[in-house]
Amino acid sequence: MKFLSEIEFNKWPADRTSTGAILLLIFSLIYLISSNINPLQIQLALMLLSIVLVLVFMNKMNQLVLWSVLLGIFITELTLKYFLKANHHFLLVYMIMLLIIYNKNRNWENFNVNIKWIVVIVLMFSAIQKMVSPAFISGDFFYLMMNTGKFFKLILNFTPDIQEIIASNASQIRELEQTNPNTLKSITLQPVLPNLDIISHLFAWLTIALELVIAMVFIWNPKHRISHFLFIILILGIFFTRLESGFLTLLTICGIWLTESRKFRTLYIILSIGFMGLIITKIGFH
Amino acid sequence: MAKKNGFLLKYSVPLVALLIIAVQLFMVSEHNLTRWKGGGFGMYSEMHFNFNEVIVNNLDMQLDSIKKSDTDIANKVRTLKRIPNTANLKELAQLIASHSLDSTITVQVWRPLLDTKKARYSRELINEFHYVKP
Repeated sequence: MKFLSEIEFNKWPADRTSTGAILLLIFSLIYLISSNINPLQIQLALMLLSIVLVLVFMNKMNQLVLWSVLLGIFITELTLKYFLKANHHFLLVYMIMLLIIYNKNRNWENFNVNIKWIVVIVLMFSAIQKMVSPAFISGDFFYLMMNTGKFFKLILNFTPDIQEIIASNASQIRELEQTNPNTLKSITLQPVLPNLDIISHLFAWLTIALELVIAMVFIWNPKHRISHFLFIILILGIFFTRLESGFLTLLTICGIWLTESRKFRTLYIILSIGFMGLIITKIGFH
Repeated sequence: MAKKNGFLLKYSVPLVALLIIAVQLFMVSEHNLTRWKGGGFGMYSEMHFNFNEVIVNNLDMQLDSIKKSDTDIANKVRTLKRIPNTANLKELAQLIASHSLDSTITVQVWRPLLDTKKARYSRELINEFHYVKP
């Protein structure tokens, strides 16, 4: 009887199903360990051990048991902490479910179409939620994130002047939080860039437009190089805005499954390994 | 019918995702759930809930100190920042009643309010509840 061994792990990285599955398996273990195990040294040792075990024993593992156990753990976590879990926890559950279904029916086309729809749903609702949020479309959200150093850390942290402004804004907010909001006190933030109110407003709409356009091109043709070119721009855009490495790893794995181009697949593999590296080193979020 | 069932089965996972999003949007609109949570992919679409502030009037000690000694209250404050609905406000009021110096407890949740033109950062009330001690 063949179960998940039908994803021929020994064929990776030539076969895109196996490549995506291997990377998703490694990500699942890293994510599970980094969100549940302490202290840091044990966490790191277990993560590295699990990567070695997956790479050495991947063809000998009973993958149905492995994926089912992982799905069971992730769904249990979701049930117990439904409103605490991040959105990519939900995405991870959907991706594992689709892999399990794929190995039951071996219908690659169905798997691929479902991955496409999951990506479209993620992008489409990400854009819709922003469009109906007054704090987002007004640019207020970007404005606050930029002025408190939560966005574009990789770029903004190079300038000592900006670092100083960010520290001063953060300290002002902390001081305000010590006062009762009923006193209706307010503070004046120092913008990290000139005309930041206009930039924030434009950036908000640019983000919505990019997410919507990519959702549309994926509906039109999820294999086309324009779709993947734009998808990679979005992934890199998110990366430079905020190190959401966990979410980004999952998007790149979806990209591996959706593209038919070797070049794009190679790029997605490199990016996903890089993002997982950021999770392990704690530079990025898990 | 068989065709309909085939469709549901074929696209079961995206349909589950849409169902979860529908529940999340309902919770956002009816229960003030933060867009960041609940599987609706609304991360980064509004201020992070950690900027929300929970205020309880006239306590015998600071709310932060109470949270350190009482995990139930700490967890409820955590939930309230994510879901500032009336039910959670009332539950926190009941949990914290023994620390209140007044006969009526007022629990409020505030969020940041920005005026980007003037660079002003202030706070606005999301929801409040007045609980009369039994």
